[in-house]
Amino acid sequence: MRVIILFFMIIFLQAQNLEIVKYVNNVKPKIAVEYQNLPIKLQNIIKKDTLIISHYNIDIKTKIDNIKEAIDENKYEGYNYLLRLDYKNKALTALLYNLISHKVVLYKRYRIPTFDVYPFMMHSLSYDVNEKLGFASVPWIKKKIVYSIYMAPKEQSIFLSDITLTYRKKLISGGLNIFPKWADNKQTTIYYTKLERQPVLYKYNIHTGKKEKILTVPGMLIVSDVKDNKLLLTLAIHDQPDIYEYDINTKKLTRLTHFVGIDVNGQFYDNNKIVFISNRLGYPNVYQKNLDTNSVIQFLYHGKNHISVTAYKNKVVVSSRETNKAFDNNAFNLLLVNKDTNFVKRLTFGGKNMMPVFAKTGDTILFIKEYRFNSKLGIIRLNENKIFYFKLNRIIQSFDF
Amino acid sequence: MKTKLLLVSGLLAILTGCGQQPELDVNANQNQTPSQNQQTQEQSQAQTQQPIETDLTDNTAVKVTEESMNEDKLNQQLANTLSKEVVHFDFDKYNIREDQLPIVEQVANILKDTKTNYTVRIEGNCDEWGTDEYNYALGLKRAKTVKQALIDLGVPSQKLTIISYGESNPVCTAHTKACWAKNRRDNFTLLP
Repeated sequence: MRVIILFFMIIFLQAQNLEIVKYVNNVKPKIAVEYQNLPIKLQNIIKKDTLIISHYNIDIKTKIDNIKEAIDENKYEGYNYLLRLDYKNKALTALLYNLISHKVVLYKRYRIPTFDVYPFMMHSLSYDVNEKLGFASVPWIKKKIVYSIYMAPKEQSIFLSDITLTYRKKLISGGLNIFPKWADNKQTTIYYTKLERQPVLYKYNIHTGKKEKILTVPGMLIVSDVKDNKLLLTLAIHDQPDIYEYDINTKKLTRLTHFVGIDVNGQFYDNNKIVFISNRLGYPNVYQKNLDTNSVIQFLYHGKNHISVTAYKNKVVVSSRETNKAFDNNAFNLLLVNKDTNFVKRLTFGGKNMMPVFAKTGDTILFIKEYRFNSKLGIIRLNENKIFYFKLNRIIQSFDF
Repeated sequence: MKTKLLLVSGLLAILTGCGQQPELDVNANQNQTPSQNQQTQEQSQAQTQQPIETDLTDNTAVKVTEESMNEDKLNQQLANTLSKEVVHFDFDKYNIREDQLPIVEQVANILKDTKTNYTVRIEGNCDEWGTDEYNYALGLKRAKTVKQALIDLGVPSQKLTIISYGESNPVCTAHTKACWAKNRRDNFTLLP
């Protein structure tokens, strides 16, 4: 008896704030996995991906002699799909078979130049499987993570990883290399700041190692956000941290905020606006500037100490210091605020939870948790109401994906 | 009487002669090569000033070298003195605490008294709390506050520059309140 579960429904809970995905009979589609040759490292990645994606379950079953041998459907009663995998000669062959419709829905070969980049290969497979099953797309699973970590005082290096931090490659070292940001959607170049005699903004190609000096100013220089050819920078040209827009093509620098205190962490928002952190009222909070009208308004009225912000449509996530005690263990937590309803939901509990960044799909947030003097990359799946962590035995200074 | 006058005249002539000739010898021995000495004597006989100009040039070169060495030493002393001066701040604040004002005044006095041509970089630092982007801005404000105080105390603004290291340059890496307090600071570095 085959259990047919093809559709799922989405119910809305908590006043449009959080969408919890529920499945018919509360059962997710099940995928049986058979493999001809599949190293344990590759198995581990596909298991992790399945947990993060949270749309289906997999069950790695048996070894087979040949990926092309006949499928015995009777062995997989209760399963919806059969995934056959074979890795050899730096190539993974994948065959996804729909046990309900009796059709092959994916037959693809994934090649890699060297074995060490296998996590990216497995993430591509997971992305394709999720697509073939018809769930909400998860392009962020294939993204490269670029991050700066503390090595020693005045020594920070920039690394490249996959989303599970399994693959790790040092890109830039020597001195203070901070605030890396992806410069293009293809993730081939990054912007980063190097603190030399003055801060210098570089553009760096991760494949060729080519480095190009973009800008240098005294005091402070941070790329906070990138949108096509425009950068939102925090600069201190007049010894004063303000937010500027820099056009890479025209090299035009435009000052967007003028405040004697701190303006920082500018993010492009809603086509013609930016949101940013400012201490205009004596404590850091989120503000919005309309670039057409130049009007600045307080963006959030909840809480009194927000140190970083990310926004996607009506959803805003802030890192907020919730207690008056400066050094409490739960000093910084992530709050999700619905701008339409002002409904606030706490997303994290304990530790220092900072630097939230929305995925372009708007249903996933990556952030950094510092806990017991280590960093973890956190992945919040809003619709699934789940958080996953990947630990790094060092402190992450900043990251982008 | 005539005999006495002749003796005095003879002594004066000897003394005058003795006073001039050794002076020429010393100059020649100290500052000129034998060939230059010979040339000097020849040119002196021709009543030109060229050898003396050569001597002056040499002396000036020696003087410049001595001054340069002195300035290096002064800079070294200034750098050492400044490295011991640290201004500390409260958590999440960039105003100068009352107990830190004497340190700022001390730095101002050091800079005003120094004879060397200097540029000092004020480096703002933070503890490990908060996001690094906000901390870089906070570190910069700390550096700017002290820079403005030094200007108010009479230090020329063009002698001062600022930078923020955020939380990237801790002097204490233990995770304690005492350590965090040490890291919330401004340092002073003499730039070459």
